[in-house]
Amino acid sequence: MATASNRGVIFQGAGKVTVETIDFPKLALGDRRCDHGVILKILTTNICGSDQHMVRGRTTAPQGLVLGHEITGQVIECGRDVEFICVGDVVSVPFNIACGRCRNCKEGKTGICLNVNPSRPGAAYGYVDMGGWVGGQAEYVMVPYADFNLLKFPDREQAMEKITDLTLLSDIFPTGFHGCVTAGVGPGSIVYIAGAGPVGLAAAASARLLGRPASLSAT
Amino acid sequence: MIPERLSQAKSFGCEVVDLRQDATMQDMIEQITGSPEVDAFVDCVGFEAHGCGHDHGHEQPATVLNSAMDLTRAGGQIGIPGLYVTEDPGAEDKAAQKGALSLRFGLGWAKSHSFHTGQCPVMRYNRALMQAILFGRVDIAKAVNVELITLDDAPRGYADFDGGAAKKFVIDPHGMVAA
Ligand SMILES: [Zn+2]
Ligand SMILES: [Zn+2]
Repeated sequence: MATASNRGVIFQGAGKVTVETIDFPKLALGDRRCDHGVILKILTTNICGSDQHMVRGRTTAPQGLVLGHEITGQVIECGRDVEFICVGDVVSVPFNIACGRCRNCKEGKTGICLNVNPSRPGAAYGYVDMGGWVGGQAEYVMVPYADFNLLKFPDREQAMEKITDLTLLSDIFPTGFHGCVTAGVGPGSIVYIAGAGPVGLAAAASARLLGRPASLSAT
Repeated sequence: MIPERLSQAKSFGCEVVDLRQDATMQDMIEQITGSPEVDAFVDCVGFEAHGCGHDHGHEQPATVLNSAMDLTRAGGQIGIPGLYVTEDPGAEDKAAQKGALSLRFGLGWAKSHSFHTGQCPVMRYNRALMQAILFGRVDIAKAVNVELITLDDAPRGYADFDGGAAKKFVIDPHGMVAA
């Protein structure tokens, strides 16, 4: 892998992104070793509304940040502490990075893991204030705590057939679904979904999956 | 408010409310459902929200949450996957720059609403939703209108999405999906 190259989408300041050559991922984050991590060859990686917050200049995101937190890929290298994920597996990467070892992870609250971001609970790939993990709008990316984080698809061919659906498992489908679950959507519910961007539409599709609601409004 | 996004929602059976109209949200909802209240409310907008009707041009970060309390039945729940922030250097006023919103919280309290914040813990749901996809129970790519693009096209994807394209841009960095 010594000669492998990588390219990614870089935030260049308000309103501007470019595609540049970036470092090939290592099983580390700075000085922090990630022998529990894997390197993925990325199959699909989505642009998200929350990336747009950064690109619009609505955050303190630094110039040079590699963007992207909605990643689906194929494992090409496993760290020595990875036991169950194997080279060749096709996997969905939850955008929340979680250690699987802290109090919150043990309670299933992986969006507020305590061990992956020195500045606050919770982390993500390629996002301001989210722990400095390199983003995945790129050709390759490193995923830490791989056995815990990754969802392996049962069959590669079947996964490739439905990849444009499965790619939405890294963020917006679960996010929209979670919005409906926490709003208490059930059979016959009338649910109002504010926002008809991708997350709003995913929430609307989720509401139909959860409740076949009598009526449904999106704005 | 983007008409193409509303038609996208209509395409799989949602009723839609167009906030550019100068009618109250209660009235618009009553016209659809026969009741001015809803059972459940999901905020998929977050802090970059805009006002309704004649106020539409202005950013009003609290407007969706205030509508949620107006519209949701007493005892109802409000899911908030939309992003709210602790720092917003681009906000229109000082309070909002620190993520402080002008909420009518007393209304939510009076109606015993519960509010559910935070990042979605993806792995709580992703396996079940994967199965729903693989067994053909949901066409989620169609619902959000996925468009595949190359890595080099990412800047165009960002620009189109910012312009309000009713699409979800998915980058195929090695051309392995398109192939
Ligand atoms: Zn996202
Ligand atoms: Zn943890």
